[in-house]
This record gives sequence, structure tokens and C-alpha cells, in this order.
Amino acid sequence: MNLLWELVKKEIKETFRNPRYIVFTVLFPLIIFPAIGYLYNLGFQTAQERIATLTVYVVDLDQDEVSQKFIQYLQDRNITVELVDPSQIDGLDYVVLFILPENLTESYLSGERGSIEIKVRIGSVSFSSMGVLDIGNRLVAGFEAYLRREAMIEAGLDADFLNDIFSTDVYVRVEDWGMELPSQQLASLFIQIFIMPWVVFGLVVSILQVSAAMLSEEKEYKTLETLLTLPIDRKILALEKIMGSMIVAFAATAAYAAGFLIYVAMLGFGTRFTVTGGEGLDIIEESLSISLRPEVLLLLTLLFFLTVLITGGIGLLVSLFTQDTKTAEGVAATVSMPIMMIILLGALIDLSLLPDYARMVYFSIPYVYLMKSFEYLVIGRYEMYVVGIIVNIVWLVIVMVVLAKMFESERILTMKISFKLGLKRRLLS
Amino acid sequence: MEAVKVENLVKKYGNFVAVNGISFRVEEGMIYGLIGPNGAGKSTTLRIIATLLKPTSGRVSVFGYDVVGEADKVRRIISYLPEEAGAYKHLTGYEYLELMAKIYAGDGYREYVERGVELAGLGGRIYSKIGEYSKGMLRRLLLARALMTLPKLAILDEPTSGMDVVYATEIRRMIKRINGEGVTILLSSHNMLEVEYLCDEIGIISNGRLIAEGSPQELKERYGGENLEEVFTNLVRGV
Ligand SMILES: Nc1ncnc2c1ncn2[C@@H]1O[C@H](COP(=O)(O)OP(=O)(O)OP(=O)(O)O)[C@@H](O)[C@H]1O
Ligand SMILES: [Mg+2]
Repeated sequence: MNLLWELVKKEIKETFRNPRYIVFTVLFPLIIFPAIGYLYNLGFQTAQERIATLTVYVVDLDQDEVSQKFIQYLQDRNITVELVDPSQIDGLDYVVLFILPENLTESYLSGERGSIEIKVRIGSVSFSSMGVLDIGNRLVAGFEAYLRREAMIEAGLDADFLNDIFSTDVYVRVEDWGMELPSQQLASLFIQIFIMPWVVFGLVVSILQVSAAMLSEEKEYKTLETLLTLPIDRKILALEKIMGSMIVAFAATAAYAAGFLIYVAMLGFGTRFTVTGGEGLDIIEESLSISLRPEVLLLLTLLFFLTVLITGGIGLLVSLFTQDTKTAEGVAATVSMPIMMIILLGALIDLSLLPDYARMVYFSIPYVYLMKSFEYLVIGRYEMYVVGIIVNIVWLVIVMVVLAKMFESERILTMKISFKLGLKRRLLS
Repeated sequence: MEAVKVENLVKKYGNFVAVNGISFRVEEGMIYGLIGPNGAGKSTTLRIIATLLKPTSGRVSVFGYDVVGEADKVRRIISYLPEEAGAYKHLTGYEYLELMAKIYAGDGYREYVERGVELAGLGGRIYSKIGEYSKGMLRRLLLARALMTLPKLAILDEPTSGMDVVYATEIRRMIKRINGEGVTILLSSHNMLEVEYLCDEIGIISNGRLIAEGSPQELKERYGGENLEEVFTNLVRGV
């Protein structure tokens, strides 16, 4: 045990004296999570501010009753209206701009349908600018309702008739989750769910690189042969390497956990909003309520740790085949591609459309659970963490057994990937 | 007692036969040298004795322990200096010796470290990072590592390769001295002077076969040469 610790200490020294690995495993998550959270909030905040201080521009070619009413309608709802000339449109810093045509009043009075052009300007195509697209439409719809009401009152009819007869609440049943939730809440979840795979992927790549280097470095610097003739049980040696990656994994887990907590905290402050209704602009608060209970956090951390450990094991397996760190990192990058595909698959396709066996296969992959961990957190399906932990443990055992076998055979020294040989053989045959 | 017993050793890498039926014995307390041209199979043989590789066929034992079946026991009584070896470059020479000593001796490691520091003869540089060592300094450190534990058998693959004459001479003295303390030594070399000076017995390997064996004196008499170099060239050409 003492001996093991001595070796692990050496491993840590060697690993963490390489600044690249610190950047990869510790700095990356500490920066990326808060950064995503910050940008996410910033996006919505700016969009929100823009709406609150919205100036609506109007090109009034009608100059008649309806256009006057429309402008009045907007002003009554505390919306700043700025009248502009058609020639001013170019170079105008607008968000929403209405072009009211010449014959608007005329067509209204003759019962024809008039057409209003709405121009919307966004900085760039992003989630946060999506909320702006609909504003013009909603304002016109509100104005329409207003005109109808006015007409009915003039005709001496009961305007209450115009009130909505039905109100609708859309609930979406997500088969995969086995639960239902309001569509608005789902919309804000989408973004989160798309972010998660990238973060997991970043983690996988970094751990693979670090652990793949751990053994191939011994080969490259010619320390492996000596190590293998020392009076140390090979199982202990394998364990030492695994513990080395475990320490790296610990550091990474701590960093990710800290980053993630910051992220969740930031989301708590951020307000998701939708712009609604005919009667002006309302902002509906649609906060994600995430509660991280200690036992849930523990499960999540364990899941994370196991997944990282499996990745470390795979990295070590990779390094068995490679003679130097450069190659090892290259192969590790190649190996991370299929893992990446798996991770993305879950975000891109509707899993319920897959046949049962394919779903079984998919959910027997260890990375799936970490990828979906945020989703599970939001919908409170903590039992999936437990399933994930079990799947991960099974994989971990497999990886460890293979590793221990490899460490005990001479293959640890003689195994190589011979791309060249394979290529030659193929060319010759 | 035989320190090393090699019987009909064969080692194939895929289809390539690197060692082709070698047999020899090393008596306890002796210095035994393997010589032979490049690619003859010296390192392969030493690596098998050091439990790194497994024989394709044949039997190898170290102080009676089988190198395959009882590899753990063999590892406890040998130390091996690879032909090409490095050390953890972020550690200092001292830290490296300390780590290695702890692996062998647990709590009683201090004695080993002391001997190691002395054998390495690096003076104050023992506290520098290994990454800053020259090739010769590194080799000395590694050799000191291999000998400081006074193993029953030290397997040294070209111990003085890459060293200047002064360093090499010192190292030969070091090997002799440690041998005097009861450490059996099995080494390979390309330096005939070195072998002649150090070895009680020599095995000449060519193309994976042992083609001659005996003390330097015997070999010179048997194969008619002024010195070992002549014996070696005659033998290797003749076969
Ligand atoms: N891992 C390996 N895979 C394939 N062939 C190998 C391997 N290691 C050694 N060989 C081959 O086995 C033969 C013997 O090699 P070995 O290293 O034992 O020679 P050597 O006598 O030590 O030579 P040198 O004096 O150059 O060190 C060589 O032809 C070498 O190419
Ligand atoms: Mg050799």
C-alpha cells in the first residue's frame, strides 16, 4: 500500500508538471461552465432589455385613420414609436419596423384585407435573438383584436363576445422521459440539452489524452522496461496507473463539479421569457427550477467519476499499442471520435423511434448517462443515475480486467499498431 | 549454485527467430559476458532472463526460480539495466534513487540510497532534475540504481554504452567492486577490452546461436588470437 502510494505520487508529479494537462482537466471545466452560463444569461438579458426599452419604428404611407390608430395603440401601451421616412430605412438602428401601406385605411373600410410589412433586425442568428422574431406579429394581432372590439362597441354589440373562448395550455409528453411538461419549459430545456454533449466530449478528450500519455510516456522515455522488472506485482502496477488517472479524474471531477454548480446557480438567476399576447408585451418568467439535493449530487458525482475512470482505462489501453506520447495522443483523438458520435446521437435523434434492441444497445453505452445527466436532473429521473452507475461499473470491470491481463503479458512491451504493415498488406493483396 | 541456467532457449518475434536454441550457465559470484554482432540476440536473451519477455520454448531459471512460472520471485533477486533506458525526467536523481530503493526495501531504503548516491558519483548534481542530465550522467544514475540494492544477479545490457573513456573505466571498477560484494553479474558488451577486463566467462552469440564459450584466456588459446577482438572477428566470419 505504501509502495503503491509512492508510485502514484510519482505519477502525479509527472502528470501535473505537464501544464497542458492542468489546462485540459482543471482549467477547462472551471472556465467553460461559468462561461456558458454567463453567455447564456447575457443573451437573454440583452434580449430582455431590448424589449423593455423597445422603440418601434413605423413608416406611415397610409397617413390615415387606421395608421393613426395603430400608432396610438402602440403609444397607449408605453411603446415608443418613431415615425420614419422610407428613405431613412437604410442605416436605421431598428429592431422592429412596420411599413403601413398607402391604402391601409381604404382597404380596411372596404372590408378588404390590408397587408402590413414587418421588418425585424437581429444581430446574429442565435437562441437569444429568437424571441424578437415574433414581436411584430403579436403587436399586429393585438391591434386587430382592438379594432374588432371598437367596431363592435360602435355597433352596439357586446364586445365581451370577443374575449377568447378557449385558453390553451400545451403539454408535451416526452416518451423518453415518461413524463409530461409544459411546452414552454421544454423549449428552454432544449438549449441546455444541446450544450451538455459538448461539455462531456471535452472531458472525454482531455482524460483520454492524459491517460493515454501515462503509459506511452514510460515507453517513450524508456522507463517501462525498468519498471516491469522491479519487484512489484503487475496488478499493482496496473492499479498504480489506474490510480494515477483516477487522481487526474478526481481533479477533473472536482473542477467539473465546481463549474457545474456555478452554472446551475447562474441559470437560477437567469429568466427565460416568452413574449406573449395581444395586449402589449408581457414577459413570462419561466425559470428552470433545479434543486440539487445532496444525495442527487452524490449520485451525479459518482456517475461522473466512473465515466471518467472508464475513459482513463480506455486511454491506458490505447497507450498499450503506442510507443510514444504523440502517437498515443493521436490514437486517443481517433478513439474519441466514435465516442463523440455516440454522445451526439442522443441529442440529434428521437430515441423512441429506434427499435427496442437499438435502444438497449444505446443505453448500455457508459457515456450516454453523463450526456443525459442534465436532462435527468431537470426532470428528476434520478433512478437513471443509478442505472448509469451500474452500466458504468460493468464497463469499468471489463476495462480493468483487460488492462490487468495486458499488464501481465509481455504484450505491454511488444504490442504496436502497425498502420504501415496493414497498409502494405492491403496494397499487396 | 547456478545463478542463471539457460536451456535450449528459443525466442521468435512472429516468424522471425531472434534466439535459436541457446544454452549456458552462469555460476554464482561470477561476471559473465555475452558478446556478438548487432542483432545477434543478446538483448533478447537478457530480456527473457529479466522476465520481460517469455521464451517461445526452452527453460530459463535464475537461482533455481523459473523466469516464467516464478517471475515474481526472480524479480525480487535481480536488477536489470536495459540497453536503452531513461528515468523520470521530472524527478531529481536523488528522488529517483529514493523511489527505487523504497520499492526494493520498504523502510530500510536509506542504506540503498546512500550506496546509490555514492555509486552514481554525480556529486551535487544528484539533486538536479534528471531531465537536465547528460547521456553519461543518466547512464551512471541508472547503473547505480541497478547495483545499489546488491541484487543476487545484476543483468546489465551494454552498461558503458555512450560513455567516454574515463567514465567507462570508473564504471568498470564499480562493477568489479559490487561483484566483490557477492553480486553475480551478467552483461553484454561490444567492447572487447571491457569484456576481457571484467568477465570470468564469455559467451559469443551470432545469429541467435551460442557459437563459443569460455574464459577470455581459453577463448584466445582455442581460437588462436592475440586478443579477444581477433577471436571474435574470426569466429563471426567463420560461422
Ligand atoms: N520487438 C521486436 N520485434 C521484432 N523483432 C525484434 C524485436 N526485438 C528484437 N528483434 C529482432 O531480434 C533480433 C535480435 O535482437 P537483439 O536486440 O536481441 O540483438 P542484440 O544482440 O542485442 O543486438 P545489439 O548488439 O544491436 O544490441 C534482431 O534481428 C532484432 O531485429
Ligand atoms: Mg542489444
